[in-house]
Amino acid sequence: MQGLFGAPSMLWWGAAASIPVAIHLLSRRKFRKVPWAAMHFLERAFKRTRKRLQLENILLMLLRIAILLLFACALADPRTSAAAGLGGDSSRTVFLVIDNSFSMDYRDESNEAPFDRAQEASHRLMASLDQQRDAAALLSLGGKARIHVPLTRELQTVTDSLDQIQLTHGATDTIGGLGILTGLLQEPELDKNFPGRRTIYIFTDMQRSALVGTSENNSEGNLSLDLPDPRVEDMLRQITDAKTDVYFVDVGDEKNERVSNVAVTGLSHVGKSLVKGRPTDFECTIKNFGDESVSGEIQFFVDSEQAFVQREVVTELKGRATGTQDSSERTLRFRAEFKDAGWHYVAIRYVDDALGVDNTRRFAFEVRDRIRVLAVDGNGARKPEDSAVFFLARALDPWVGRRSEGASSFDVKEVSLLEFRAENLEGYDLVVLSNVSQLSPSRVEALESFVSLGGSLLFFAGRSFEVPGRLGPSGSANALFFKSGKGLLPFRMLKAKGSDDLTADPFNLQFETFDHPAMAYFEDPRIRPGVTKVPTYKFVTTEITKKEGSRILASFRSANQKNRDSVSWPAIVDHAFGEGRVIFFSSSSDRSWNLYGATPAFVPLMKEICYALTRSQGRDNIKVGERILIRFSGNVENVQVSIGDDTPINRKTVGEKGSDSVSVTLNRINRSCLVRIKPLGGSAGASGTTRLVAVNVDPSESDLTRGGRGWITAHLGTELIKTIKAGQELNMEASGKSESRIWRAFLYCVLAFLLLETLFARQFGRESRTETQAA
Amino acid sequence: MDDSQKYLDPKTLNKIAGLELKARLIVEGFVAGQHRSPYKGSSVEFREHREYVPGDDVRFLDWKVYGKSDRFYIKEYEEETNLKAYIVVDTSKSMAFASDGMSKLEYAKCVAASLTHLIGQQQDAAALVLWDNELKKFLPPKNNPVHLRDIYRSLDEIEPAGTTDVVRLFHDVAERVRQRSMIIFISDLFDDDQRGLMKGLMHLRHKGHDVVVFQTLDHAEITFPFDGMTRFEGLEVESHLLADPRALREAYLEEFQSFTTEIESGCAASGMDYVLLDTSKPLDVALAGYLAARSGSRRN
Repeated sequence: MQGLFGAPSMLWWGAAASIPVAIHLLSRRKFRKVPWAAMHFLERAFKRTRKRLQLENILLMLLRIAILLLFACALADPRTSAAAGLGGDSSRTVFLVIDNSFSMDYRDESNEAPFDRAQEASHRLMASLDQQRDAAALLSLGGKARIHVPLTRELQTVTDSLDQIQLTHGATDTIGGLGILTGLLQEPELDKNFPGRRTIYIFTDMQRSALVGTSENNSEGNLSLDLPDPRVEDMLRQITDAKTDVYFVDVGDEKNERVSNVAVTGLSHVGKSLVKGRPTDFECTIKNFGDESVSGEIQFFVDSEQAFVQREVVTELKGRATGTQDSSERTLRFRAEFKDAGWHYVAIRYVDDALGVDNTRRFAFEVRDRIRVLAVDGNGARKPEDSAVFFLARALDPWVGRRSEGASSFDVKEVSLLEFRAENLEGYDLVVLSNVSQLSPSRVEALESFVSLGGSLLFFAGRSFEVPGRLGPSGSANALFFKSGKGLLPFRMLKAKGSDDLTADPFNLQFETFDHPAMAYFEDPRIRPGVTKVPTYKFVTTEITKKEGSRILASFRSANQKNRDSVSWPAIVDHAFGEGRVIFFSSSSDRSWNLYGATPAFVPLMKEICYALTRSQGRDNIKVGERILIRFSGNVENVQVSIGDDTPINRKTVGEKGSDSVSVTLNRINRSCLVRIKPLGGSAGASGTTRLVAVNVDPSESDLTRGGRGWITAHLGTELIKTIKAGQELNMEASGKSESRIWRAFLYCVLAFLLLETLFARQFGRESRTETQAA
Repeated sequence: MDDSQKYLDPKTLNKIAGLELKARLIVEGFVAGQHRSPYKGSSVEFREHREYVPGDDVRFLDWKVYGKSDRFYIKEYEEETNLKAYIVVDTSKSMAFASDGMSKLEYAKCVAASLTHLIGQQQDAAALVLWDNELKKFLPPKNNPVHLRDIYRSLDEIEPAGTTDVVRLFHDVAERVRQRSMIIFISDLFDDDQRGLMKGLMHLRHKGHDVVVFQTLDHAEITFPFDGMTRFEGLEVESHLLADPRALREAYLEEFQSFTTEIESGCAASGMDYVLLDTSKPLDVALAGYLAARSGSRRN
């Protein structure tokens, strides 16, 4: 009976079903006497209707008994066979999921944070479980979702671990959490080892951003707070299909549907590569996620957060209620110059609002002494001016080969193919291959390793590609650089197009986009003709294939007006390879195929391309909860890791397969901070360079707009997810009293039977006289 | 409502002692309500003058007297007494039923007394027959104040007893009354033998009498308004019935309706006047019924 009903003691009310029988019996004893003259009419009426009256009386009595029995059943909270385990196991398996994202630290006027309420409520839930029969697991969602305690019947372990869960500075990883739960529920032995009812309780402040996903998860890269991430619904459906209920336990502040909060949502450097002694601009974005306009101070820090170096006051940053999406955001620029090469960082701080963790953002980067360029000549020239990289090297560094340190941002070393074999690529930021159609496979692999670790490659075609067998689908150059799509180039090179005859119709460069760091400079129409008017006579055609990470920046078109509308061929293509980038130029860098080398426009074109290739990609700036993977070249055995102001710890490095580099992987860091990694020993250790990694909060979590019950119900439906409050509703649910809604069905039956009884009574003439008269 | 008319209400009338007084009040109230004198007649002799009172028919003003004295006088005529009216009252136990206030017998007594008073005023001869399952009292038709007082006293003294046997009564009255007369029955007509009842009435009609049937019923008998478990105990018979009246109501009303309809249509078919008296309604219905029958008999 305990299993069939949530409150079996309420079944005693079923005794009330005897009331109609008792009333019937008592009514035959207790009656009023009426002396009656027209007796024979009454007797005749009675004789005529006696049988029908008996049937009607029985029917009405049965209905009344049924009404009382059903009502008693409804009070006793009946369960379905699935929920109650009809003849089965009534044990419970509970998954506690704690949202420990930084929004859970927002403190209201009572100085109580949702996280405090979550811990208190989860302890209450644990206390309601049966120590003998029930099982529980503990997960958290802050930063990256993870399991703290796997499914166990040792409930004390779960209870103890609850206190060890700390607030993180990460966003709510609902997708990750649901993914873990989906996996756990699909384990084949789960039903056997943990039978009975399964419930997932997610203790959360019900932020919408927790369901719409992080900015990284969002395919568009933009946050839409209107709709939940479709993956949430898919996963919830899988969980429901696995006969598991999901509850959102609301520990947020119901009174404030959108809390006022300002956050620093972005910080990056703008412009060219970071080189010492040159001023660099940094751009930060401040966003007001609240409704009302706010004003505040922005402080800019360089390499230390003890004292700011610049400050600016932001006034009237409009809220969503008063302004547009754009006016709630403000972009500010700060400038800094670094005298020393090495790793530096800048920080932006907004002073100050109720949720402090998203008020600071850091950006770590490496300032180079000069950009080290290795230019490989594929011409095999005896004279320097015949070299394929002669003009390129001088475009980047006019004093190349002479004592001119510091005069240019670029430090270019020209090498022949033979010399290239001996070069250690780790010492360069950029490798230029010009007219190199043949390389040893090991060199190609070294190049691939160099680029994939964050290096850059600038690739020029040239005459050597015209040697038969190098181009085309099965050409040797494609075998080296395309590798059926796995190589450094994103497409096959097909054939050389054009003529060696300088009087023939040439081709002109045409920009396809200016929305790229390498091309942005040429958006100015006064500058552009210097590049687009230069004739190109020959180039390598390529397969026009769209590949992820590839982008055509400029194309060649016939310079002849008659042929202007004909097809175009890729001229400059940008391609991501691992953590590095490759830019492919389909013509030559010498004068063999074009006249660029002899024109002034060649200098800015090459510089802009090389700056774009070597600028910081911001890979040393990660979100809270992401892993840190740092690679070192050489024989670094140990590194010293300092996370924020914590005491440094030593970690061993691990050698990488097929490479002479080593790497160190750090566990996910759950707070916003700066991580310093200092190599100990080896060549890198000798240099004493300390790597910096900035760990920042996910700005999506800064939007404290709540997705209340209505929003969740409207978008996900109550069959997939139910929302309950952390107080009384959770207590009811935890005690199993509200798990079943069957009592509603019983109440509906009671109402239906009442209606039926009234109709029958009216039909049978049993309604009271007053009603009849009124009718 | 005129002060005099309030005495038509059974509830008011119930508070007044003395049947004679009641009769006078009823008749005067009725007359005031009619706004015309019931005492007019065509084949009459002049009796006296009396002073005009509001409500008198101006046709009977004596203009000659007005011309001489400047005062309004009404000419009153002596009507010939050629009508004998037998008032037959059922005094069986069933007539004792009263759901609220006045019993059917009390109501019947008031009606009988009022009619006696009216008949006396019209110089007709009134007779009284009191009857249950046998003759209890018979006062032959006369028209003098002593006789009328005898009728009032007899009505006052009679108590309900016995069962209803109107069939025998009708035949008995038919045998006793030789001269063509008006016979007024005041009864609930609760007789098991409904066919005999109609035959009895027909018998009277065949003798050439004008018959007026006042079926006197209690309001509860007409509407059956009971709620809750009730034990109905027969007034004339020993039987009783325990039932939920809400369940029986429809069938009972059908039976009862059929009974009254049968009587009404039977009376109409035989040229008899039928008036249903509800004891909760004012008594002018009975008097109006009588006057209608009276004028009918005069036309005949």
